Amino acid sequence: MTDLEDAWNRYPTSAAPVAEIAAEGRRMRRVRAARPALGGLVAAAVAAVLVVALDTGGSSPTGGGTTALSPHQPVRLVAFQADLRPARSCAQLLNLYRQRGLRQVTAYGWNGGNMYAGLAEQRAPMGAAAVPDAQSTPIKGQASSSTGTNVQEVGVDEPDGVKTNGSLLVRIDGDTIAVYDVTGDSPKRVSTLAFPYFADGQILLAGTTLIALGSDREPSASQTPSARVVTVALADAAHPRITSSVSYDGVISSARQHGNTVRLVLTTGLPALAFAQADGSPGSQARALATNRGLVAHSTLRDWLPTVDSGSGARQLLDCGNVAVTPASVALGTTSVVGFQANAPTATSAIGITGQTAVAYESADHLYLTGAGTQMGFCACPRPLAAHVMGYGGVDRTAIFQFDLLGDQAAHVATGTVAGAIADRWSMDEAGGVLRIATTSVISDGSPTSSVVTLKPKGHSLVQLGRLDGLGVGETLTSARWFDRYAVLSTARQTDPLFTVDLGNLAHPKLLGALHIPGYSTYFHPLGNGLLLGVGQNVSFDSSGERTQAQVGLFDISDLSHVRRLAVTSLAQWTSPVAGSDPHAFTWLPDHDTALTSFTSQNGRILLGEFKVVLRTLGTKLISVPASDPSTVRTLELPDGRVVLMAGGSVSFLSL
Amino acid sequence: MDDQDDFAAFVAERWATLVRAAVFLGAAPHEAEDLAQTTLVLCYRKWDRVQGADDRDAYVYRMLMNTLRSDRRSSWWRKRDPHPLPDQPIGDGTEAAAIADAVHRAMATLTPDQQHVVVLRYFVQLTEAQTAAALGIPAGTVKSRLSRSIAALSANHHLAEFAGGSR
Repeated sequence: MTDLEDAWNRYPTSAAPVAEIAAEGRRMRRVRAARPALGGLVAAAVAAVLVVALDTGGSSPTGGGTTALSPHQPVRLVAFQADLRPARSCAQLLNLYRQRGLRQVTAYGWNGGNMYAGLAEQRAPMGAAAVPDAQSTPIKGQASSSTGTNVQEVGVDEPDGVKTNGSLLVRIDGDTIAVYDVTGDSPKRVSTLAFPYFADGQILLAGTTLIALGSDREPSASQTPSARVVTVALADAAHPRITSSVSYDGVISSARQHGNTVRLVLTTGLPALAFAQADGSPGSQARALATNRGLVAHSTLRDWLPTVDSGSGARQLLDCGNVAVTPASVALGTTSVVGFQANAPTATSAIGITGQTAVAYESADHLYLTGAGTQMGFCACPRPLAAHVMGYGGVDRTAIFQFDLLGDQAAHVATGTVAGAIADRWSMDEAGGVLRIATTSVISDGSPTSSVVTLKPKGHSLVQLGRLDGLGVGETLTSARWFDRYAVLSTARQTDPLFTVDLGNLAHPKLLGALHIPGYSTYFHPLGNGLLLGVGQNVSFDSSGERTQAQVGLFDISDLSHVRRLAVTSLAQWTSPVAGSDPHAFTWLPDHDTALTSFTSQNGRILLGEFKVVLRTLGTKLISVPASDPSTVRTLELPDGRVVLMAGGSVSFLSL
Repeated sequence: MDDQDDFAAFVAERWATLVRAAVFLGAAPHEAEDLAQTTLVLCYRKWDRVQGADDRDAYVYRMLMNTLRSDRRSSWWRKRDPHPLPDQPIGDGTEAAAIADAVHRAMATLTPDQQHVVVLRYFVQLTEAQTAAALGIPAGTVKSRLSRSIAALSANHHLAEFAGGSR
């Protein structure tokens, strides 16, 4: 017997965890069986099983009882399974848009203008992530996604300005991609390609298929915002080839990738009708109002519903029967959930609702959208930037719509409402089928205060299981990080506490501790081994007023009741961490025990910080990088452990 | 539900081999069981497909390779452990670590492609066709990679010369 064979036989293994695997499998299993659909809608939803209708072209499958779905049988989700009802007809849908539109049109056009809630996520200021941990084991560290991006949810990739598949690296600058071979001693640019009528691009990468998401600059495009999705084959890296270009009415407010499936949340605002403007002359107010009301009353579905154009002419993206009516408290407009496979970007599945949504959070299994409040299209979510506490006026309740995801399809399965405002996607996290969120409300004396709320779907509602109130009275939530049964939150204004919350008993989230330290974190990252890194700011006061400087703290969270700060590094005055508003500017390199993250400085320079964790202390190195736009400074780890630094237009290996 | 019994039997039978394969493919002891578990959870979710697959073992090892390949960097099989197993002491842990370390050093003499073939074909004892299906490569490639890998390993005295033939 040779040594390897011996090793194979001797290697000790535990008993097979059959029960745990089956339990986990059942929890995650999406579609096993469905009753034959009769007359279109399937009424009964079986708990934990998606309702599907077999696409049998009218003939129902033979045999009674349950019918196993073969993976090859086309499965169509029933799009609306909960309280949101789809429009019965296009006429009904149009009537609804007109009636709600009439309530809000003024002598100057739409009340409040035509603002979009879109793209807020790119500036999302809070850091949080789902890092499920074990009760008995320490909270684990989280490395970047397989394309090199620091993402919120493990397994759900997010668009960014640069991506790698391990051998190629692609970056996008506005409308142009540059492809690099990163297998050699230095990154070698092998091609560039510009996309026509394209701007503000971000990219996703599925193998050698690149998906670029940006705004559409087609000259003939209407005045309302339009989005464009371009896919590129990189199989021959020296000759990238555009394989499709699809434009949509609206703004892509969120994009996520699960394997080969890409899902967009597309926000389409109020239609750009040719409104009259009252000019102040006698009677002009009444005349303009009458004109504008007439325009709304005669608007058509073409005005309201988004179109999609993959080059063969624009068509309506949503069937009327796939658009559900949201409560009138949600800002009017259309939000579409669009899914497609990376290799078939023109074959889209899309469902929509008649409201604009503010925050999109996607877990491995679900999409959650929060309704944009009644402040007419303005992203009615507080920006939790501690330096200037925003007003929370008007947003005392937030609607949350939960969608089940199956491949490129989505189905609305439950709705919930919580008191207060939800700042951004990082305030939400799903674990074990429970949604945990951090909310901010205004208490009676006008001060903001934060809460942690746990919600679980029950029937067609997201029902509150428990809540913990009173986190940071008078303070603003600046960051949160979620673990399987714990949460770490930071607030700022006066005393900058760092709260730890035990979520083990979902009915009674419990405050474990509050560490009061100078400075607050705007981004937390778990490093494993009981360590947490906090990237944030310190604010100090002197005769000339307030001074701020970036700081990075290393925390021991092995005992969440007694969190300790082990080390802190302060940067120069007027530096600010980029990761607080853009977590993609952070990279944790588990094999190097090193965090990389960028900072802006007073003179506009961008600094890259390397923070090496050595024996529970923090080694710091700062380098100035040749870039002026913080969103163009990124670090990515390749599978072989080498680290690429992208700084503006330059791509190089970083020696650590 | 016989579906379930069937699955339970399958897991019980394949567990040790899957964990060992994961170790031989480069996983650390603490990662290997997570990886095996993740693979089997994925299989459970698509059990109809696995049952229907022409060859279950090829499918399961294809899933194992996918889990390793696509998620190695993001390490979600290392990080994601939604329903942690109760602590099941495996010996004292140091033996597993010592063996894994020796295995990794020995396997490091091979390229990743060679490692895959040698683990699936030689150690897991999949057939040539199963190995080809699991790795998505032609059967002829399995054969040629295997002979080179065996030669390399035996040159380093890690394996006796492989007699070949069908298993």
